[in-house]
Amino acid sequence: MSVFAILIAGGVFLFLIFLALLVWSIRSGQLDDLETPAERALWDDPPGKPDDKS
Amino acid sequence: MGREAELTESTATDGTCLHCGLPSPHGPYCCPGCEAARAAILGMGLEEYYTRRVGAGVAAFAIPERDPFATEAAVRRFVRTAGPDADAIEFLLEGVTCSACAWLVERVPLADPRILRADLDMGRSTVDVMFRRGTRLEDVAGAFRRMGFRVRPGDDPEIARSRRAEVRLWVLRTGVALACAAASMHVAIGLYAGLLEGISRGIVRELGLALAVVTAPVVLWCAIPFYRGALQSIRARRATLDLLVAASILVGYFTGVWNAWRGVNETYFDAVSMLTAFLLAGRLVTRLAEDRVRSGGEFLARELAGEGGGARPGDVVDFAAGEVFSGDGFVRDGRGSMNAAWLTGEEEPVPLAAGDKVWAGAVNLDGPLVVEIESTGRDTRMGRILSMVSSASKGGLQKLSERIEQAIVLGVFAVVAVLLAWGAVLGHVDGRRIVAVLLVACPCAVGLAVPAVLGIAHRQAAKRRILLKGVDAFERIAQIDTVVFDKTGTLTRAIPRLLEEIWTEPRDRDLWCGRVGALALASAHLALRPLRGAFPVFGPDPDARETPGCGLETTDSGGKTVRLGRRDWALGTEASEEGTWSEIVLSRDAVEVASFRLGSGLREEAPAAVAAILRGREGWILSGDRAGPVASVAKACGIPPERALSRRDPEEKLRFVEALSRARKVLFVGDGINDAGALRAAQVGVGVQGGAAAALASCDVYLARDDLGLLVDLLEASKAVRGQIVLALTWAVVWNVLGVALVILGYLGPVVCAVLMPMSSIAVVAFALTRHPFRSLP
Repeated sequence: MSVFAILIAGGVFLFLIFLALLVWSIRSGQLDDLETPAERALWDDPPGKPDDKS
Repeated sequence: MGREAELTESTATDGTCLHCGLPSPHGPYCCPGCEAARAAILGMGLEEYYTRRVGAGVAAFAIPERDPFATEAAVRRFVRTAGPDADAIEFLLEGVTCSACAWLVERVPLADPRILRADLDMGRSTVDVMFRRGTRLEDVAGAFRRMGFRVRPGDDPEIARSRRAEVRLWVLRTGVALACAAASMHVAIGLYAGLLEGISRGIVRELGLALAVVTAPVVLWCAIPFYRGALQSIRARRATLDLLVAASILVGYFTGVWNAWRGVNETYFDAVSMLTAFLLAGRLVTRLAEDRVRSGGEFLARELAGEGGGARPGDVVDFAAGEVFSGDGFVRDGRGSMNAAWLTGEEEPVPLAAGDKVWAGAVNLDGPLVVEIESTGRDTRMGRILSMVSSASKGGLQKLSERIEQAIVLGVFAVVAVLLAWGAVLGHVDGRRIVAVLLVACPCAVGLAVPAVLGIAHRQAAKRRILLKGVDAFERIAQIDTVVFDKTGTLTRAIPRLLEEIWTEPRDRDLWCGRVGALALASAHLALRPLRGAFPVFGPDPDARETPGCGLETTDSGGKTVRLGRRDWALGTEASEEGTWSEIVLSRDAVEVASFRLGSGLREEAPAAVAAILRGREGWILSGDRAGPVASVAKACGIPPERALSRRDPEEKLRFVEALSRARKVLFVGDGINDAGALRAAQVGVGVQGGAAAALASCDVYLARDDLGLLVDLLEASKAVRGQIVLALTWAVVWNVLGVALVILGYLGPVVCAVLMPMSSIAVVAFALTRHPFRSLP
C-alpha cells in the first residue's frame, strides 16, 4: 500500500502549493476587481505614471 | 464686420450631443456641462474616448452643485496615507460601467501632475485615487469632474478595508473548498470503482479515512458561515437554507467518517465538499452583486449628504447665478428669479426681488443674489418634505425565493422527522435513508441558480446605466401594473427648449446669429441656454452687461444698444413684475429684431417610451405644475385627461400614490424633491438622471442615463428575470419532491444521491447562465 502513501503525500503536496498560490493572489489584490482588468488589457498604452518624481 | 461669421463653429452634427450622445436638436451640445467636458477631454488629447465609446455616455453636469469637497474637513476622514509623499482617497463616480469611461478615468493622471494614479473598479463604480500630499481635495475631485463625471466621496477607509477583508476571506473559503472538492473526487473515483468491481474493507477504510482528512478543511473551516447562519436561524426560530445546508454537511460528513471507519463503502465526502464549494460560490456571487447595488445606493445617499452647504440660520450668503440655495431665507439684495421646479413641479421661474422668500434646493437663475438664511437642514421646506419621506412606508413584500426556500427546508425536515419517528416505532432507525434525503434535497437551485440569474441581470442593467438599489428589485418591478409619471423633469426636460424663432426680417438671421450666441454665452441664465445651443459661438460677448432678472445688453458697431432678454425690458418698456421668460426678444435700439419662444419641451423619446411602458399597464400623470402644461403633455403621451392630475403638492402626491398602492402595484417615476414621498410610497420608485438628490435617495431604481427608454428595457427584462427565477425554483421543487419520494420508496440510495446532487447543481446553473434577460433588447 506504499503506492497510496506516495499518491496521497503527492496530492497533499500539490494541494499545499495551490493553497499558497491562492493565498498569495488574494493577498496581492488580484481578485478584488474581476471586471476592470479584463477591459484594461484591451487598451493600447498603460496610463503613464510619473515615476520621475518622489 | 465679419466677426460673427468667424466665430460660428461648424454645426455639422446629427442632432446628438458631441459629448454625451443624447439628443441635442439645437446644436452640437445638449448642455454647457457637456461642452466643457468635451473641451477638457480634447484639450488633454484624449479624443480617442469618443471612438472607444459604444452607445451614449453620461451627460455632464450643467448646474453647479453644492460641493461636498469644498469643505475640506468633511471629507478629510476619507483620506488615507499611501506613501511618503502621497495620499489616497476612494471616490464614487456616477455609473461608470463602460470600458471607454474606465479608459478615460485612468488617463486623468496624464493630464494632472498632482494626481499620481487612478484605479477604477467598474463593478462598484469607484476609483481609487493616489495624489500628491497637500493637494486640495476639491482639486482632486475637480480633475474627474472636468471630464463630466459626478464625483462623491467613497467609503470610509476603515469600512472599505473591512469590506475588502470580508470578500477576500470569502474568496479564500470558496477556493479551498473547490480545491478540496477536486482532490476528494480524485480519491473517491477509486471508491466508486470499488462499488462496481469489488473492493476489500481494508482499502475502503484507508481510502475513506484519507478522504475524511482531505475533506476536513471544508467541513471544519470553509462551511463556517453556514453553521453561523444555522445557529442564527435556530435562535430566530426560522427555517432558512443555512439550516438545511449545515445539517446536510455535518450529517453527510460524520456518517461518511463512521462508514469509512467500519470499512463500509458509503462515504459522501466528495458530495459534501462539492455542495459546500458550490454554495459558497453562489453566496460570493450574491455578495458581489450586493456590493455593486450598495455602491449605487451609496452614491445617491452621498449625493444627499452633499447638500446643506454649511450655512447657518442668520448667515447672509451670496448666491451666483446657477447656484442652488442652501437654505430657506429671503432676498436681502438683488433682483432675479429662481427655478423651484424640483420643489413644486412648476416650471415657470419665480421672479425675486428684495424681501422675497427663497427655498433650499431651488436654483438661482440669474444672480447674484444676497440672501439672508432663515433655516437650514431639517427646518427647511425641503427638510420637512424629506422627513415626510422617511416616514412613508414601503409595503412589505416577501421574496418569492425566500418563500420557496422556507417551504423546501421545512418539507425536508418534516420528512426526516417522520422517518425518525417511523424508525422509533419500528425500533430500527434507517440512517441511510435519512442521509439520502438530506443529500438529495440539496437546495442548489435556490442557493446557486437564483444568485446567478440576479447577478447577471444586475450586471447587464448596470451596463445600460440602470442602477438598482436592492438585489430583489427585479421581482418587484416585474409585478407592476400601474405607472405614475411626474411631469417636470421626467416627461419634460428641466432645461427649456427653443420652440420657435420669429425674425422680423428673415434674412437678418445670418447677420445676427453670432451676436445672439455670444450674448447667450455671457449669461448663466437657464432660459438663455437653448440659445447657446442654437447659435454656437466660440466665446461670450466681452461687452455684454447683464441686468439681473431682465437680460443682456451690448453695443453694436453702429453704437446702437442691443438687448436680449424679456420682451418688456428689451423693448424699453419698464420691466414689470409679471414678465416671464417664456419668450426672449432680441432688440436693437428698442426695436424688435427677433423673438424666441421657449418651452420646456417634452422629451423626444417620451411619447414612444410611455406608449411602450403602458402596454398592458395603467398610466397616470401626477404633477405640481399648472393644468395647461400637464394636459398638453398627457395628450402627447396618450394618457387620458382624467388621469392627468395637476397642482398636486408633495403631500398630496404621497397620499395619492399610497391610496393607489392599496389596490395596485404602482411604479412611480420622478425627479423632484416634491416626488420624494411618492417615490418612497410606491412599490418601485424610479429616479431619472439629473433629478434632485433628495428624490434619488428615496428611489429603488436610478436611470443614470437621460433616457426614458431605459425604463421600457427594465420592465421587459424584469419579466424575463422573474420567469427565470420561477423556472429555477420550479426545478428545485420538482427535484426535491421527486428525489425525496424515490429515496423513501427505496429506489435511491445515498451514494446515488451524492452523485446526482452535483449534477443537478451544474444543470441548473448552466441553465441560468444561458439566458440573458437584457440580451434580446437592442
